[in-house]
Amino acid sequence: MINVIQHLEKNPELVALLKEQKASLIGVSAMEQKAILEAFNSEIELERDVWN
Amino acid sequence: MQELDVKINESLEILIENELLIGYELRSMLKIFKEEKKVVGYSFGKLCYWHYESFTDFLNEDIYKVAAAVELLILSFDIIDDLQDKDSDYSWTKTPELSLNVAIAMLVMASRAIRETSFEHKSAAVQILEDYALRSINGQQLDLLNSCSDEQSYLQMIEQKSGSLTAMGCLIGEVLAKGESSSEVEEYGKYIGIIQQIKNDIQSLKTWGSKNDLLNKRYSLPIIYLLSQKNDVSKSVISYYNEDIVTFLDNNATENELTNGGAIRYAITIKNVYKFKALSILENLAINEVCKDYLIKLMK
Repeated sequence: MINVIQHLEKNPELVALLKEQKASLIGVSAMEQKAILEAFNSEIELERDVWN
Repeated sequence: MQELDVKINESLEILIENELLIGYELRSMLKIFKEEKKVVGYSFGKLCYWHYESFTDFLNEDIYKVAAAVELLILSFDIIDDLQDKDSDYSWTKTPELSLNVAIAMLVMASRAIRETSFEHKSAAVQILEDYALRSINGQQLDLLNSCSDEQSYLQMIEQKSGSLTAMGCLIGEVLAKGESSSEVEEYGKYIGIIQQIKNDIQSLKTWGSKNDLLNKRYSLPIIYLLSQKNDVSKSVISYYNEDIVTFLDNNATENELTNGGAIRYAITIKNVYKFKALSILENLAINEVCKDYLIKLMK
């Protein structure tokens, strides 16, 4: 999972494609992909509620 | 304080007051420590209660005593953990030798309290308490050794350390109601503990003080991610952990890397995986709505 997140951090355009269901991650289950997308969607929440 | 917390708190007070084999000195410390615990609420006791209520047709009032026993065990583990980590300012850290004795008394009182109830399946409940307490102690040993420095070993460690205790609360309630426990409840029970531990780990990195895992050279998911990177900040953190050279961390750069480099997002992703796994088990389980709502809150 570390490598997947690292790759997506470096290639944010891939996250957009995943959200639009125009790409998929090989070797990553549907549940894991959902977990990843939710984590990338929670950026503002992360700043406000968790980190600060 | 919610009604259920009040009931568990009353049962804890009765348990402490009615234990004839302890003297004034021990009893007064038990009361003080219990009061400090009251502030954060009795989540583990509530897991036990809601699972009992979900699976039973008849409510035996002794369940509050069992929920209080579960909380006594949890409090004893919290005290021991704080004494080992030396990173908290609860009153029990002021007198470690005496507090350790209080924690041992709590452990004995916990299983004794369950044995004293009128439940048909109390022996099975005590068995679960002992089994899962031992699993948690094993996880704590691994945590203290600070050797779980990769994703898999770290997740296995927190499953034992934290997941065992949340599973224990759920399973004791279930077994008292049904006479047997299920793998589904055990599974999501463990996941709740893992989720809460990951949230605590993220929280620990919030301030640069005595509780900060990174400053204490401890491992957690965001730190494991950071250490796997190949940039200047991670190189400096690796040196800091290896102690091969004297390293001064740039707090701002490290905090920025944790927040914006993907470390926190990675930890949240893993937490989400456990959340979705837990929710999918819960979806197919016949359990009352109040219990379900309580569990869903703990899974987020």
